[in-house]
Amino acid sequence: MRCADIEFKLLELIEGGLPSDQRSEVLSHLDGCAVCTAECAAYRTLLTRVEIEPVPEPPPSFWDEFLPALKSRIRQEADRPKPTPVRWLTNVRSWFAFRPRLVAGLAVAAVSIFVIVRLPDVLPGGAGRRAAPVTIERVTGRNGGGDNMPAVSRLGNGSRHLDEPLMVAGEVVEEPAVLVAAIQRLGWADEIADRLEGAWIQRREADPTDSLNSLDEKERQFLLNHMNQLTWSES
Amino acid sequence: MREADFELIDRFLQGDGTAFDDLVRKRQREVYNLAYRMTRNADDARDIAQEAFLQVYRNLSRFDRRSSLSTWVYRIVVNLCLNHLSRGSRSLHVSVDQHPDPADLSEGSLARLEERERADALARAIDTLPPQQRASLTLRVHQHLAHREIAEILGVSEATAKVHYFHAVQALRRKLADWREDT
Repeated sequence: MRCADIEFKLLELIEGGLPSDQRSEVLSHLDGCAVCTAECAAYRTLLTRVEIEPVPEPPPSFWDEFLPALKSRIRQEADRPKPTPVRWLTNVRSWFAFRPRLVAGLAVAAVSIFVIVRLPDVLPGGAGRRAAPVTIERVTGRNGGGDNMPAVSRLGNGSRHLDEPLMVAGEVVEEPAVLVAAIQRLGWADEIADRLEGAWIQRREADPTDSLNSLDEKERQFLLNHMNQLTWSES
Repeated sequence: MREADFELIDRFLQGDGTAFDDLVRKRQREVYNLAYRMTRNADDARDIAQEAFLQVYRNLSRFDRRSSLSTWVYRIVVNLCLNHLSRGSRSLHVSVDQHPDPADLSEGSLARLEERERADALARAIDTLPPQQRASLTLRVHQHLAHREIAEILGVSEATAKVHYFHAVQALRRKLADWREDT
């Protein structure tokens, strides 16, 4: 056995995970090789140092305040009025519950389309045509504007009115950075922001539908309409 | 331990208001320490520990007991830390010890200074590890978990978890190569 072949095996030896035949082989090599023996000792020293590296002790009041602060947050959360679940939302929830990866992919696709179709006017080059912010009511048509769906489908030709602001989750998007912030506001779509930044973290503990509750009826419908128009596959 | 944890959960589900308090008191230090070792920042560790227990409170009734409570809690903490690190929050390790007065460079103080420099070098080296490697390292070395459990927490295969760990150790070894001469 050569020294170059042994590095990974040294760690497995320290871990106690080497099969007996390989263990004998490595130990035999170590008997005759001072360099690898020193390397093995260095790994052991390193792991000991990592293990005993202390975590700085927080100030004395830290632990006294930890549980009360946590309980205060729990109380605040319990006092917050919960939106009444509606039937369609329950169905959506059960559908999403088993497809977290699909939800993330779908959401990325939805926002990507949204960005492609609607963002050009807010990207550099379109600055001169930037729209003035208006109220949410005007955009979402809550005041009886007659169009309840300010959706991409309405803008299917890739254009949009110059005086129409870009809205995501109830926020006027004037800068791409604001779009990212708006996306992050959609808690279940945190993955979108991660993907846009080139990172992929799968949040196993998060219920991706929880923050659907933070959207109002029209905003939810708005997102779902887009999702329903998408073609996607599990791959 | 496992049975004691499940008893706590049973008490919680039966409406015993003190059960969650007991659970937090029992786990708060290990949760904070794990978050600190992942984020290397006391404020971030506190926030993540609070958020982790909030998630535990919200989801305890859904805990299926297929893994230990520790593994389940660690998974929550590690996921929060990975999300936090993925958003670009990075800490800089700051040595908390005062360097000795130059006028007092006795043998003892020099040894302490050297020890402090080694500790700082180790902390800086750990800071540079990718998050998944850092998680594998701390779950293995500090929480003494098996690679199978680490794999479960990270949502990867056991082989991948093992590779993350080995790469982390090898990376630290390379960054701190001069330790060989001291052993």
